[in-house]
Amino acid sequence: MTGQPSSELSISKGVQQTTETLPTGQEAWQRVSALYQTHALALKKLAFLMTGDQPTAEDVVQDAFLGLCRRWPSLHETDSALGYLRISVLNGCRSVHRVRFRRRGITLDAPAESASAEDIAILGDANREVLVAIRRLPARQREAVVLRYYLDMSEAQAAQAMGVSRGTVKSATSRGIAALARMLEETK
Amino acid sequence: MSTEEPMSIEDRVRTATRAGATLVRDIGPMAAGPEKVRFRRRPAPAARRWGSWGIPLVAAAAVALVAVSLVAVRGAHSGAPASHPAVTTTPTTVPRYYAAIDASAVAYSGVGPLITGDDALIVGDDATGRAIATVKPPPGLHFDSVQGASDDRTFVALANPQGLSLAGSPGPGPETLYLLRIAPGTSHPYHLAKLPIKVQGNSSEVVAYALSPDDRELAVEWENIIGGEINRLAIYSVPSGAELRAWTTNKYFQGGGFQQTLSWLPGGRQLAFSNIPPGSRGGPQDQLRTIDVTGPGTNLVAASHVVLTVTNQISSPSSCWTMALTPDGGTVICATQYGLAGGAGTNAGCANGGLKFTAYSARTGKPVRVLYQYRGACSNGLAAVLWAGSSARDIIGVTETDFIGGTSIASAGQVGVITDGHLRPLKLPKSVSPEQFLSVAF
Repeated sequence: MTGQPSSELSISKGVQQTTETLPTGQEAWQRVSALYQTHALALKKLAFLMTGDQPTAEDVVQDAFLGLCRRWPSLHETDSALGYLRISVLNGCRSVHRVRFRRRGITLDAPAESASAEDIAILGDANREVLVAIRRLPARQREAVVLRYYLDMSEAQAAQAMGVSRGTVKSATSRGIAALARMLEETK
Repeated sequence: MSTEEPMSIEDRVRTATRAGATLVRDIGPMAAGPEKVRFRRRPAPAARRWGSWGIPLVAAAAVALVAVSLVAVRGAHSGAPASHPAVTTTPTTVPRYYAAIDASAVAYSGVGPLITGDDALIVGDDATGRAIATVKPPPGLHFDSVQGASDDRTFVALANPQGLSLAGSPGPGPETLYLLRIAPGTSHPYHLAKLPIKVQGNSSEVVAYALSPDDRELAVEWENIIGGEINRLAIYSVPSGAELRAWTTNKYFQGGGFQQTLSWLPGGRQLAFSNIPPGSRGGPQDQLRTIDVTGPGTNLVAASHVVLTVTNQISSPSSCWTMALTPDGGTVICATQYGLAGGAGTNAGCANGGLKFTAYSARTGKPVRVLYQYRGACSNGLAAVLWAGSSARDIIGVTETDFIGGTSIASAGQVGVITDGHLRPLKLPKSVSPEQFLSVAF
């Protein structure tokens, strides 16, 4: 099940270290590379759902890992590194949306515009409409909806990933779902 | 004729996002090689940068800080405020001080990946807009939520560990509660002390907590991580951390969704909480209940008493989102949501009574008056009570709204004192974004 996020985002035991102080230099780069092998694809999927564009999603993920390399000496635990990566990806996606908005004067790209005809066929109209609507949501609502319903995170987990409170996740999710319902109703 | 139930929006999102993710099949090699990476070094310890002359000064300050901390911690452990007497009377004046989670670390103003995590608490004066202190979370933690006490000087904050794992872990990390006491206008404007209460649950998370009027007990409410039902309400001793009472259930959902739904009544014998009963007839119901913390029983539903039940019409786009009991126990305030559930909202409907605060008599269960009605256009929105005075003469309320126009959605929010049908905005810092208003406590 390539679309199932939970298995792909699971932490491999080989890189999970919660107490050991991490080294710097070459060995640190190797550790980051190991994290990349394990988590980069799943993070790219998350970024793709946020941005709707695969090259952009990959750029965001690459930037996140580059940032992780640079900050590695200041991170004490691998869990911190993983948290940093996801926050970096979310922030990177927000930046992408900001830049697009400024440059083009529109809210967002038409979603899946970079998708091939084959991809569009695989998605189906119903799913494509939902993805279009998700990308029209304000950033925080989009993040809350994707983290809650794609990654199946609890409110507390989504709050940590987004850097906001649980109440904010609850309200952003509710409002995001309501906005989606309205937009999908209008497209009928 | 198909008999299949239409998919919910949530299920459509799950299906579509999983299908969308399958389009991403690979990723290139990591772009950053070790030769390209310039590692950032940790800053030198502060003492070195201060120079040798600064060390005695730092030491003296540390001694003073330890002395102050000991006094304050002793106060916390004894269960009584260090400098403020316990308050058991009904609050009548609008609180002057607030604590809010600083959202600036994730505000959409910077460019490029940022690491968040401070999530400091900003303490300030809502009358003047002046910030009093910025309270950093303890190392390795971030503040998740905050709740005010009745003396306008004390807050309780919930902190979680940073560094969430990429996977959905079995449950959130250990949660820690802190007592924050503020002393505006003094050289030590705040003191933060860890409470000795262990609140970690295996499959549940803290959704609400409230400090008793005398500051000696803390009520904590949990709900299941999966399913979302309230499963436990417990009372802890603030000085010792010992669990004093606990009630359980597994059928009721929390009304609204944030910490202000749980509150103490003056005297410290009654707790009020809102809930949504399962399978309520006639449409989803919201209830406001009270429980006598000295009474018998451990079943939360059986031991508590229904003060008010509001039945929301399924087809109506407007319904109660949060319910709050005023400190005198005489009035229940229903703050609505609009267009988030039930029928689809319209801009006109939202501006014409869809989003409002209504006072109900706790004695008769009848609506008494509309405290405030949002008049702006919005496609959907929600309202919540952050603080209530006696008989709801004054309340602090928040509204969060979205306006959907074409392909764009504009979000807005306001928080203010509601009196006689008017909302007077409070002065809060810009770093408390409109969508963070539920993280403000008074």
